[in-house]
Amino acid sequence: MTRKFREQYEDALTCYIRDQEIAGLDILTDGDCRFDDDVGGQSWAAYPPMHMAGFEHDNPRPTPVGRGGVAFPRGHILHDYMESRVMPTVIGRSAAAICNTPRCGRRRSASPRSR
Amino acid sequence: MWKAAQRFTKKPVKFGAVTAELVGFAVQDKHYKNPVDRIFAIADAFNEEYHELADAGCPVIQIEEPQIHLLAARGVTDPVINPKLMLEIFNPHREGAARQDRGLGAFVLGQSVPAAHVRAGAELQGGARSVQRGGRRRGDVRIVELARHGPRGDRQVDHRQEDRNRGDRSSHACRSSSPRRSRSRSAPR
Repeated sequence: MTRKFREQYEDALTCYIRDQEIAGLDILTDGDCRFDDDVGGQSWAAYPPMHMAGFEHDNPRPTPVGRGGVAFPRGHILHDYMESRVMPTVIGRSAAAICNTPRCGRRRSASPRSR
Repeated sequence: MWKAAQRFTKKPVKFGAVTAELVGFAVQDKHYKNPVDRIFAIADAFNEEYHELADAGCPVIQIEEPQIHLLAARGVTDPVINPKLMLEIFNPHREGAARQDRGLGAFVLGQSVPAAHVRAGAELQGGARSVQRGGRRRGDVRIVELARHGPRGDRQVDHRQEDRNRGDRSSHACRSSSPRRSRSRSAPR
């Protein structure tokens, strides 16, 4: 989420958090409503690499189906989901930390344990 | 983002996270040329990020890992991409998280069965109340696996298991890939 979407993010949180409280949930969640320029394409899997160093953010590429040993037949909803993913390409030696913490805006150098 | 969400409530707000293999298998690679090295590098970066999140005060981090269950359920016997590797990849994510002073819970979620769901729900309730009281428990890192999967061997994988209880209702798929499935009269166009 970039700063320009903070207002929308907090507005959405107001509704999500309150609904969960009314429902009586003990541990709440933001529902992964992390807005960005690509609202329709962002998801819990795509958001991290789009905010990490070592990835080419300006030219996301489609993901080949079957990667990781998991595929679904045509017509299955997860086939459609996996076919529609576009993800950034790895171009760097190691991936630095993502910007989800209070120190957002300052990217640290590569982890000393990075390969 | 977690701090922005936590400000809205006194109840603990969890942070939903992803594992490295879901990212690693989905991206093109011009650098590592080896999926295992790529995935472990991403896992190391995620681990540092989760520690920062915990240091900022996040009480619960949910690390979802469907790959372990999908590969186990399908009996994948690839020498490299297999459930054993998925477990080895998952461990760096939570490395160091099991500290006495952290109210950190890691949950491995998979396909649920009713009994496991109830048990997991009870554990979650207990963990939530503990976090609300500001208490700390031994073994704060809880690995809750909601399914019991093993290799399926040569059994046919049923991709339509989510449609098992649909009866005569058509599935959400526009077109079925199986010749045995018949179209319902109420099938959406």
